[in-house]
Amino acid sequence: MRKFLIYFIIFSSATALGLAAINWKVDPYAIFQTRGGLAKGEVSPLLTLNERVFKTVLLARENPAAIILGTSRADIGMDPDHPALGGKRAANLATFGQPIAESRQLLALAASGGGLKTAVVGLDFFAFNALFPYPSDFDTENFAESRPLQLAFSVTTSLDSWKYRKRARRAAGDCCLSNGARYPNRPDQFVGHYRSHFMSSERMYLLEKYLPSPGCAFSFAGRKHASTLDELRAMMALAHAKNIALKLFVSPSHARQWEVVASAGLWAQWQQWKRELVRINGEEAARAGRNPFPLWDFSGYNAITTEAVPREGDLQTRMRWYSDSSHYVPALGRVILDKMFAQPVSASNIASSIPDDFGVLLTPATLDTQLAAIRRGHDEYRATHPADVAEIAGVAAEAAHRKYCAASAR
Amino acid sequence: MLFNSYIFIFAFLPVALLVFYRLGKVSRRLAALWLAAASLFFYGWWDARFVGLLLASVVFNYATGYLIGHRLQRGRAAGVLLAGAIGVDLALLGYFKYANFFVANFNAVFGFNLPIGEFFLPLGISFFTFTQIAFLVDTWRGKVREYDFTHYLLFVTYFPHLIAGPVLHHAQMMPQFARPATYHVNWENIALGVSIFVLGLAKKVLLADSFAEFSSPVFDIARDGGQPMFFEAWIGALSYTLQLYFDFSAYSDMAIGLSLMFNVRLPMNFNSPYQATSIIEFWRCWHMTLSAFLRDYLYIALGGNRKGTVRRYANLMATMLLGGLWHGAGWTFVMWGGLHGVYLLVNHAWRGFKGRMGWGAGGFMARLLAGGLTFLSVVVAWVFFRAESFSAAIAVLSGMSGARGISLSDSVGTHLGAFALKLEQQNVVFSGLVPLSGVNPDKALILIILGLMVVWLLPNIAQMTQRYRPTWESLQGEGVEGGWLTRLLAWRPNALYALLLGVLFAWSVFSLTQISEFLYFQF
Repeated sequence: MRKFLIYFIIFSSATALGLAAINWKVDPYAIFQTRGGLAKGEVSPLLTLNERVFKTVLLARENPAAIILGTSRADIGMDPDHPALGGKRAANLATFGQPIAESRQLLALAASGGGLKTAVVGLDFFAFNALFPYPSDFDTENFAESRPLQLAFSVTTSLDSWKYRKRARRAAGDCCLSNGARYPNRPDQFVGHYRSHFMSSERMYLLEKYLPSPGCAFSFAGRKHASTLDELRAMMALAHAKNIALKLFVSPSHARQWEVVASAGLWAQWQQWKRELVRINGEEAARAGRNPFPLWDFSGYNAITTEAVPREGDLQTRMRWYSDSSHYVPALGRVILDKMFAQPVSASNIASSIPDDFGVLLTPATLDTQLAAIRRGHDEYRATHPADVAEIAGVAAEAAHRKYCAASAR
Repeated sequence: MLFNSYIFIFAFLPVALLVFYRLGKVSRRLAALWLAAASLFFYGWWDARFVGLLLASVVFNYATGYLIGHRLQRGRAAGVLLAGAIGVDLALLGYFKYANFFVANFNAVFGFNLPIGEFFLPLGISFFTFTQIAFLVDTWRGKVREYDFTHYLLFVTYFPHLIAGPVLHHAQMMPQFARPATYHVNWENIALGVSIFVLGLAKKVLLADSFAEFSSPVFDIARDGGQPMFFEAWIGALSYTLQLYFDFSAYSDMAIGLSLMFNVRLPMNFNSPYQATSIIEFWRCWHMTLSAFLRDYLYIALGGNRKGTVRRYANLMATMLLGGLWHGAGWTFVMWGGLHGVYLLVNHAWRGFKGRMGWGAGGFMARLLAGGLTFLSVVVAWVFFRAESFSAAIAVLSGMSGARGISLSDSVGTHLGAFALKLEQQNVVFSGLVPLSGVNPDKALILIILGLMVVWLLPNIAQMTQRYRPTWESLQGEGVEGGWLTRLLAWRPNALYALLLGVLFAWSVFSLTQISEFLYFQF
């Protein structure tokens, strides 16, 4: 019997150590030895679906000086290499479908090293919907201190190591460069089918983000957790306490995206959300005895956000600022950072294309004017783009037909 | 502390074992006290506040039992003391577990608005209350022979069973703690215990947890007012049926294995219940220690079958309703118990009818039919057990019946062409097999079929290790039968088995990255 136990210990240890060695060597999330060997800007050999592991387990813990938080808009569009962020120790921690609660957790984790000075936070309306479920790759365990060790001895890592063997190293839009930014999309990736791409994204927002099944509602307060607005409040309180410069901005999605918001019946709530952002910013500043954090609104109507969407099959036109209604391209992300950090537009060739009203600082004094301007912009857009508006109405009707809503939500 | 956690497997257990056997060489009492202290530490790992409550309960019940057994015997005073002590135990259980339930129902019935407080349920309170009530009743019945406090303390707090059973009986446990051999290393018991623990751990992390990802979304949708359709409802119900069995029986297996490492044999708690061909048989194989407790201390105490058929059925029904309520403070649990009560009444009536008609057990097909019907009845009852409200349970059940229509995959609709349009008028849609929950239907179906094959065809762990007598029953010479597959898979202390278990253990530990709690902790 003792021999049996000795065999058991040998075989189980050998299996465990063997698997851990493979996990370490293949390193599918680039959190063990690969990261150290990566040149700046080199693509980490990651599976796109595991960006949260890379960003939470490794990047957020590297005591960054500057971080970018937010949803896929900031993930795809914001470059941590922007000069305003101070170079080396800046990381893009934005992830697909990042609820504001996750942004708060990531901010706390990144700040725990003591070196965090700046946090740029992309604010998206849907990330404040308490009924929007966490993306399936979100895992609270990723925030655990022992997570790197856990993942070395994890069957999930082994399975992903196996999957990784088959994966090509670089693909457009893949996560991630070593600083957390995404490998850029090909410039001509959507040429010829922008319109269908816009519509499929709009459909997805209506089905899954603004009014997700089965509740089919938007609410700042969820079933179990407190208001999502309190998550932002906690972020502000932490930033004030730790002397972190928080730079907040409402994403400059395309005007069609706001038409989607309107078609979901959420226009008033969207406006109210901005009022809440301003209010909370003021309250937390007063509590800390400091100035409110700069809060920029890029969601207005202007030459950028109303960029014409080419007709389907148009192989000549390439959109300058957008890949779909919600996601802007990295070039626009750079302009956002220029504006927020009061720097001249870094790429001189596009400086002349940036309208003055792209980005308005939201304060109690500017709020009403900005909201009124957006309302006017919306009316004007509807009047001047009837085809786009009709197309979105069609998408909304189709989504409503396809979507399952609980009886109480109907 | 969870059995399926690193801290338990790699720190608590090795230390508890090493110190136990080291002390066992010096003093058996010290070793027993160490094991009790380790158990209290295990219990307090969650919430240290309740260690005091557990200890107070142990001291109170022991002192009462001692008084009844030694001073009062079966006099009137003993009866009063017994009733009072059981009342205190039940009041404690009621306060923590049922206070809100009663207040909410009182408010609903009488239109009051009494406040509902926030109670934290002390883990395992249902289990340690029941084991101690059994002790008290047996002292009054004069059946208790041993009153050693250390052994009593250990019997109640013993960590392998403390949180989620099995419901131990003092007559099974205390004599084992009194045996000198318990305190000496027995490599056969350790090897067998480790093997059973590993098989239980694998069952929990590789099987039970896999089903959670299919059952929870479906029941969540029903909770939120959704109406799952045919396939989705069945995926939810069957996944939960399998998840609960694998989860709870895995816990019991791990408990048996752990205890064996300390030379103590726990009673069996599961004996392949989904292979039962009647509800009566199901209850002899499912949560066997609870069934025995309810039979001995509730059903028989109510009069059992000694007072005529009507009274017998009433007793049976009352036992099952209370058994349902024991599982949770909610009407869905009572409904679950009630359903099983009705099943049992029908089963007993059918048996009586068969007996009068002189019919035998039937052939293979009859047994298959009986097994199918039994399983189906159990699945239906589990829907009430799992659902968070009656409306959610009804939503899932009506989905299972087909009343909510059937959703098929898009591609089927495309292939059927014009016929699909006709089907759409018959409550058939083509939005995928699981339009609401978005679970992976292919993976779900494969896993469910695999899971059903495991529960219907494979031997259980007690059968696989029977030759080495892993359970209390096997020590009494009660065996569990098995066929050729059992002989093929029978545990053998050889290199091949060590290799297979070693790989299984490593794989299971590698699957612990996401810790999930055992379902039965809530009961």
